[in-house]
Amino acid sequence: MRQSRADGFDEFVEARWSALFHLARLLTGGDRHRAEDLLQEGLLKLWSAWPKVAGQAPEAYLRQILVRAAARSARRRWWGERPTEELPETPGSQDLAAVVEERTRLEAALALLPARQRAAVVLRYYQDLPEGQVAEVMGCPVGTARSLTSRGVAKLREALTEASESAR
Amino acid sequence: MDDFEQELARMMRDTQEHVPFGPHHHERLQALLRARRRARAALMAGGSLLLLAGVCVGLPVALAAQEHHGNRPASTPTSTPSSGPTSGPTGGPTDFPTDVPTSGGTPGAWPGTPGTPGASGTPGGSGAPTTPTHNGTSGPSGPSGTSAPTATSGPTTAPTSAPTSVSGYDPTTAPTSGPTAAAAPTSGPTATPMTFGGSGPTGTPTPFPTR
Repeated sequence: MRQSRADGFDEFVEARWSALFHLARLLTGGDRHRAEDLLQEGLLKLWSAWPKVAGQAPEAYLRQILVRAAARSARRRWWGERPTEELPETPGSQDLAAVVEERTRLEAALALLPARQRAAVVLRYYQDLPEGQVAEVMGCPVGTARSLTSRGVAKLREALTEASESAR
Repeated sequence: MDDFEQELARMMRDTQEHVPFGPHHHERLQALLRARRRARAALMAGGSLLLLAGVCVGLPVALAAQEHHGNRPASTPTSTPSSGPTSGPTGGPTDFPTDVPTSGGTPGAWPGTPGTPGASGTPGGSGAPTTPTHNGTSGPSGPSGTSAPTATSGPTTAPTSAPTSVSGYDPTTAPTSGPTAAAAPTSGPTATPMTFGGSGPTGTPTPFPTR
């Protein structure tokens, strides 16, 4: 019973982990620990519903869980973070530096956005969803999703422009 | 989509880091799943215990309530026939119990009312202090118990005088007892008119309107 319930779940997680982790990371504004927590929480919920959604669109289901959980978790005041003297990650080699720098810039800019705007932008530009589907995933009207996306993009434009100017 | 938006989409895709699903991810996920299973099992066990406790507490209470309730309907069906003139004999005694418990102090007023009619009130009056207690106790337990003889004795004279035994116990004193019965609602508005009205359809028409 339990084996049949988990049929395909592990394979799905192994196959899609990297992409899902990136989505979670973008949704959390670059916080990889929160992203991992978010993804694990989402996978847990997906596992509960796996017999129902396995044959349909498990990734869409999980995406919806992640987006809503990210928006909800952003309202928390404290995440149990504790200061540390060591930096969590450092670029390993020189050829990765550009990618890491770009990612850091993007994530820093995303972190400035409110959670819902960030989710709308990520769904629209990373997941490449049409506006109607963005609204459906976020559980809001299309006009709201469009407004959140455009405001998010405007803020990102400003933040990324400032960041690139300061880098020069 | 303008240039910035295209650049944004490219940045989001290109910066994806390849993170394999490692054993520690697997272990953590399995641990979470185990914890969830345990929590669900605990929740189910707690729910079952609560249900069991609810049944243990609720069942005796429900049974007691049913028992209590089962006694009350015994008076109700008999009081319904009491409105019928043919079942006046049984209606007489069974009307008492419904009144006596509800109107606690008014039984004093109620038997007083039949008591005032005088000689006929003496049986009623002698019955009155006793009949409330009889009726109060015998009504629910057995309408055909101790009060049945008094009731039957009343209505045996009563098929004709059944209304009078209630409204005044005496046809001659009925006019005087009529007003007292009409005045009785002030002392016991719910109790006495109910019984009077129920068992004395012909005797006093006034209790009916007051009822």
